[in-house]
Amino acid sequence: MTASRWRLVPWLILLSIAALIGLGLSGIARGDELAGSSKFYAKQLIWVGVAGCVLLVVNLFNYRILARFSLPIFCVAVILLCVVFAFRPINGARRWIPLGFMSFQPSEVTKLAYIIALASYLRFRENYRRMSGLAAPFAMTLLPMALIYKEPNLGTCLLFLPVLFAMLFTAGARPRHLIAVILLGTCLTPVLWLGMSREQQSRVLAMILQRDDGGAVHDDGEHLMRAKRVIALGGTRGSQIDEPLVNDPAAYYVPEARTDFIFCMIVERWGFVGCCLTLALYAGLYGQGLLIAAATRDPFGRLLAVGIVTLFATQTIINTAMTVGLMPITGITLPLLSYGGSSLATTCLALGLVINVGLHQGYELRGQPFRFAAG
Amino acid sequence: MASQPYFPPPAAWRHRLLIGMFALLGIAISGRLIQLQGFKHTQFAAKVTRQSLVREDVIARPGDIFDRHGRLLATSINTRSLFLIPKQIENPWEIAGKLAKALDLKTDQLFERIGLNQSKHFLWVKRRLSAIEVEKVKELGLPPQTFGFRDEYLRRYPQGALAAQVIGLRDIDGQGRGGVEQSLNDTLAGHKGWRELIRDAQGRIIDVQPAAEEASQPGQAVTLTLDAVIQLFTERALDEVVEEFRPQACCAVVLSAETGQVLAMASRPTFDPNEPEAAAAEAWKNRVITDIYEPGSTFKPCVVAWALQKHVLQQTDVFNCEQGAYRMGRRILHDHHPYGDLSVTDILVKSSNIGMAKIGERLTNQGLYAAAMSFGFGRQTGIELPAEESGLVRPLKEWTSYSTGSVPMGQEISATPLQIISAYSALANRGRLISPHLVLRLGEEKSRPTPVIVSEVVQAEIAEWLTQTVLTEVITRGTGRKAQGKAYQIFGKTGTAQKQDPQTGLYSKSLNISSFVCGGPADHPEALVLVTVDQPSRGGDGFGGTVAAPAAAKILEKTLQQQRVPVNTTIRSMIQPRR
Repeated sequence: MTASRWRLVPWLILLSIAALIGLGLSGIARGDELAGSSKFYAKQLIWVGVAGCVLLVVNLFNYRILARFSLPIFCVAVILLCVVFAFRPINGARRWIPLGFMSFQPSEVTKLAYIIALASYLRFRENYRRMSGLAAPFAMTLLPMALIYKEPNLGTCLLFLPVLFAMLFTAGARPRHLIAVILLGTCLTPVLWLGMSREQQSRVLAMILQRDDGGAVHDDGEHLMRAKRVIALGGTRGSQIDEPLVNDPAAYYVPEARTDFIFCMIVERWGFVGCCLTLALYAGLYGQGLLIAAATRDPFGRLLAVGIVTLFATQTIINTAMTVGLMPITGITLPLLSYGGSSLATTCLALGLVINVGLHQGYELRGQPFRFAAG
Repeated sequence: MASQPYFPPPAAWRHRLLIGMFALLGIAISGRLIQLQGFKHTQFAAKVTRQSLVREDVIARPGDIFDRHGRLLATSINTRSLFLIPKQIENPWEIAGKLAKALDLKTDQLFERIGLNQSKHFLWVKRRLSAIEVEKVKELGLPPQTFGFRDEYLRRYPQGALAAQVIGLRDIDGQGRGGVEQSLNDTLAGHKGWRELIRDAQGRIIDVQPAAEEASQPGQAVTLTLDAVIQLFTERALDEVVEEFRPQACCAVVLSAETGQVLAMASRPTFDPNEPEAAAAEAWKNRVITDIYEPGSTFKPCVVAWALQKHVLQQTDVFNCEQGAYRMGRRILHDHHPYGDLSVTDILVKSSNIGMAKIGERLTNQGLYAAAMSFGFGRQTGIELPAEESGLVRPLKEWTSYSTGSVPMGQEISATPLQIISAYSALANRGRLISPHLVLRLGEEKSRPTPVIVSEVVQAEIAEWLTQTVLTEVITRGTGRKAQGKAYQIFGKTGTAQKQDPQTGLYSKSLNISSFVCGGPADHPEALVLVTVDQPSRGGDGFGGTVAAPAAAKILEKTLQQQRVPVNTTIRSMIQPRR
C-alpha cells in the first residue's frame, strides 16, 4: 500500500471491530464461567485469529473484481442452500452442512453473496426508477429467501428485505414505489402469520404477552424472562465492577447465552455502561461504514457498503431488540459478539470489504452512477 | 451534463435518512435497556433472590435426660450422614459399587435408588455413619461434587433398656416417640435454626448467606425423678418375676410417698432403645400407665378409709362374714375361706369379700362412687407421659345393685397401676392425695417446683390407722406374709383380679392379674411400690400374695436402703392382732 492509501484506512472501523470482538470475548468468558466450562472462550480465541487474517486478506485485492464474479458466487450460494436439504435436520431445521470439524451454515455466506450480486446488478441500471424495474431485484431476493424460509429460518430469511430496500433506496429507487411495496407487504402480514409454524407464533405471542415483573412464565416466555432478568441484574456497572446483587448463578442462566443471547452476558458483566459502549461502538462502526458508502464514487462499492452495513445493523437491532423483548426471539446472531466461528469469519469478511471500498475510492468512467440519488 | 463525470454528493439525504432510521431504532432499544436496568432492576433481583436461595434447616441438638442424681439416661452424639447428589453422578454403577462395599449396602439397590432420583440434588445413602465408615467413604475418592456429609445427632441411651418405656426414644428425624422423649419433646428437641445457602446452576452449594442465618437453639436438658439405681433393681426384680412365673406382662412402679415423685417405673416385655428396630410392638407399652385392670382387693382399703371418713363405719365395728357365702339380691358372694365375725381390720387382713360388701351396703352406691373418685380413679393422674389411660369408673346412674357388692372388692371399676399406687400414696401421706410426677426439673434451672396437686381425701388419723395398723397386719399375719422383710416394717395389700376371658366375656378362673402394693416404713412411709403381674402362667396359685408380693417387698426394701432410711429397730413387727 502506498502512503496515501494508509491515510484512507478507516481506523474507527478497525477500532470498533477490535473493541466489539473484545467485548464479545468477555461476554463469552462470562457465559463459560456461569456454565462452568471454558471451551467456548478458547475456541472463539482461535476464530478471532482466523477472522483477523480474513480481514487482512480481503484487503489485499481490489473489491471490484468481485463484481465480475458476482453471478457465479450467487449461484454457488443458492446451490449450497439447496444442498442443505440433503442432510438430516438438527433440532428440526436443515440449516447446516456438516464438514466434520465444524458445521457450515450456507445462509451466512448467501447473505454476502446476495449483497454482492445485487450491488453488481444495480450499479449501472436505471430501470429501478420504474415499478416494473423492481421486479428483477425482488426476484433475485425472493429466491434465497424462499430457500432459507424452507429450512426453516424465518429470522435470517426476513433479513434480506431491509437489505434490499436499503440498497434500492441508496441506488435511487423512488420512495413512493418502495413505500407502496412496504404497504403491500404489511397487508400480507396475516398471510405471513398463518404461514408461521406454531413455535414461531408462540414466540411472537411471548413477546406480546410479556410482563416485566420478573415472574415466571412458561414456554417461550421463559427464555425472554431469563434474558430480561440477566439484563436487569446487570445494573449500572455490571458484575465485573459491582458486587453482584444475586449470588446464585442459576439466576443468570439464559439459554444460548454465548451465541444469540451474548448481549445479555455483556450487559450482565459490564452493566448499563457496557451496553451503552457496545451500542456506541456499533453506531460508530455502521456510521463510518455508511460514510465510506457516501464517500465512494464507485456505485458497486457504495451499494456493497450500504448492503453490508444494513445487514449487520439490522442484525444488531433485531438481536438486541429481541433480548429486551421488543421483538420476537429469532435465531439471529449479534455481529462480532456472538460465539460462532463461521459467523465471525463471515462478518469480518464483509466488514473487510467495506474497508476495502474505503481504500479504493476511485470511480468508473462508464455511465453516471447515482444520477437519481439526489432526487 | 451527461458528458461530465458525475460525482455523487457525499452523505446525501438518502444516507442521512438511512442513518436516521437506524439511530431511531437504536434509541428505542436504549430506552428499553434503561427501563430494564434502571427501573426493573430491583424487581427482577427480588424475584430471583426468592427463587434461588435454598433454605436449609440447621438441626438442634436435643437435650439430655438425667436421673435425679444426674446420671445420664439419654444423650445425643454428633454423627455424620452421607448423601449423594444424583444429578452430578456420571457413573452411578461405579459409585454405587464403591459405596456399597464401604458401607455394607447392596450395590444393585443403591444403584437403583440413584437411578430413580437421577434428576434430584439430594439422596440419603446412609444416615448416622460411624467414624470408621466416614473415613472409608472419604478414602474412596469419589468426585467431590457428587456427595456430601450432613451433621446429624444420634440419640444414645447409655443405660440401655433401663426405663426404656419411660424415656421413650427419638426417631431418625429427631422426633420424640413415646415416654418423656415424646411428652417433653418441646423442651428436649430445641428449635431448629436455618440458614440460606446459595446454589449454583448445578445445585452445588457454593456459599452461605452470612446475614440470612438463624442459629439453632439446642434442646434443654430434663432431669427426671427416676433414680437409676432404684430403677435398675426394679428392672431386675421384674426379670426375676418373668423368669419365675412366665407372665404375659408385668410392671412395677416405685413412688416417693411424700412428694409423689416416681423413683422407678418398669414394664415387661421391654426393648433396648439403642436398637429400636428389634423391639416387639408389645414391648413399647408402658404398662404402669396404659394397662387397665380391675384393682380387686387393692381397692378395699380405699373403701374402708372412705367409710370411716364418712362415719358410716367405726374402727371397732365387727361384721358377720356369713361363713363364706352371702346372698345379695339374686347373687351369692363367696370368700376364699369361711369366716364368722370379723373386725374391720380383719376384713382387710383376710381380704374378705363379704365383709367388704357389707361395708359397701353402708356406703351405698353414691358413697362408693365418691370413694373411687376421691382417690383419683377414673381420671388421668396427669403424669408427664404420653398415652396415659384414665381407667374406667362408669357414671353413677349406670351402677346397679350388683355394684354395691362388686365395687367394694375392686370390681366393676378399672384402673392403671399408677392410679392404684397414687391412691395408696394418699393413705401413706396422712390422707393427702398427691399427683404423681416424673420431672424433677427442666433445663438449667436450679429447681422447678413441679405442680403437685394435693387434695385431702381422708383425715390423717384414718390414713395412719390404716397404714400403721391394718395394712401392716396384712404383712405380719395376712395375705401379704411373703412380703415380710427383716429390715423394715412395711404395710401392703394384695390384689388378685380376675381377668375377663376373651372368649366367654365372663370372669375367668384361671386368668388373673396379681398385684401387690406396699409401702414403708409403716410408721413414716418414704416409698411405695406396686408390682402387677398379668396372667402368670406357672408357679403356684397366681395370687397377688404369692406372685407379686415378694418382688414388691424386695424392691421396697432396697429402695429404702438406697434412700438411707434407718433400719427399723422398734418392735413394730411384733404387733399383735387386736382381737
